[in-house]
Amino acid sequence: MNRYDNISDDEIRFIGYCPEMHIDPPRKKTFMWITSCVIAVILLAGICFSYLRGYEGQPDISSDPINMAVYEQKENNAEGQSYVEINDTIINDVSLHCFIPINAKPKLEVGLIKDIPPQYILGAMAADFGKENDSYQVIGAFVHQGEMISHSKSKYGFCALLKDTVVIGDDLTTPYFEQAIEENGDFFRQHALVLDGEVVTKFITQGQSLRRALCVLHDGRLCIIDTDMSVTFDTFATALCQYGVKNAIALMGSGAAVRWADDEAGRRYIAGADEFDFPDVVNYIVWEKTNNSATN
Amino acid sequence: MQEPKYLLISTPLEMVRIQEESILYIDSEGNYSNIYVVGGEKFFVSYQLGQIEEMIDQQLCSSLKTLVRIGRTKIVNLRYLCYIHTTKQVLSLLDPSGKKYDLSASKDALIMLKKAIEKIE
Repeated sequence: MNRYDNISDDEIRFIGYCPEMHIDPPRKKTFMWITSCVIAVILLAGICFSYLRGYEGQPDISSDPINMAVYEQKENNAEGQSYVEINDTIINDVSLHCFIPINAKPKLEVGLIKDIPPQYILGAMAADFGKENDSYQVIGAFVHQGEMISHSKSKYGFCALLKDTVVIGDDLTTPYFEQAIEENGDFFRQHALVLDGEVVTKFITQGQSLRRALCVLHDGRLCIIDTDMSVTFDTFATALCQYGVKNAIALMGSGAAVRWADDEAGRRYIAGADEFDFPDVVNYIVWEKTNNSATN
Repeated sequence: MQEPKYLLISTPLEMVRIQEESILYIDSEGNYSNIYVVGGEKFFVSYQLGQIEEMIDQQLCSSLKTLVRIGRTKIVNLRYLCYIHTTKQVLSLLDPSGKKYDLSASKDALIMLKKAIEKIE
């Protein structure tokens, strides 16, 4: 992490530090520290007490149905056209664009896609990447076609793409990571936004940016939803819930993150910077046509 | 007359070169940053805000002290600061053409910024 990022939201720093401009931060109230200590002691006592009593019934988080959603690929229509159904709406003053792929199967792709192949009817940048030791790395565990690209656990949310199943969840120790490797599937980590129709509030930063998510709607359809407004994760996730999203994991946001969609008439809608200098670790979730119908 | 100082941000494909006094503010967008300059233009660069701050520290004269990092998401040029409201958590910049930019920041950060400015003025 760059040492210049060692700053909290409540601090300021004059660039080119000058001692005469140093201002002491507002003093934290003493009772807040006392309260925090008391709470910590109570929690520690509770943990010790539970351990000594042989606590049973702790749910296995890795299999907790609240923490994941399994989307089964519906049987594709071999004669049907592959396209993206596009719906636009406004929820809580947040504009949402919903892209539902029809007769297409998702997978991950790694590396810059300059000329989008016509068989990829929908796609968006998926996992974030960042610079570490002078080279770009994918942030969070990442598996592509069974090959482990990265194994860090920096984000709790995950998406596994396995044969005919897509799993979206919020679990740091999910077994789907290993399963993706074993089954030549794909796996990436991002922030979970919505689980079982509820906004996920932990690990969500307060920064504003253009947001995009991989979603499972209440009617069971898998889709991408994004907004062209700069909003916080919380605002976006709340709008997704009200739109009818049951489960959602973030996809790479910001104005540069690319997303494209081909509608029923074959028109392509592109968002993001298509001439941007992205590193080799840039990755996408794409939907590939599942049939070779003449109508495609 | 003092030579103008330029901030140079370079990637293999592109380069952004801006005078320090033209920078209004810089805000963070994840792994990228937006640089807003006098005149209304905006430059989108593939560097995190911390990396931009490091470049400013290294390239621009350290005696300038007009650029301040506010929290994790902003760098502001104090030349153009015209208004702070701590409880509303707002600070405003006014560029020479009269256009006003309202930015949000934490209450504690704005209290510190206000004290710092009052100390040096």
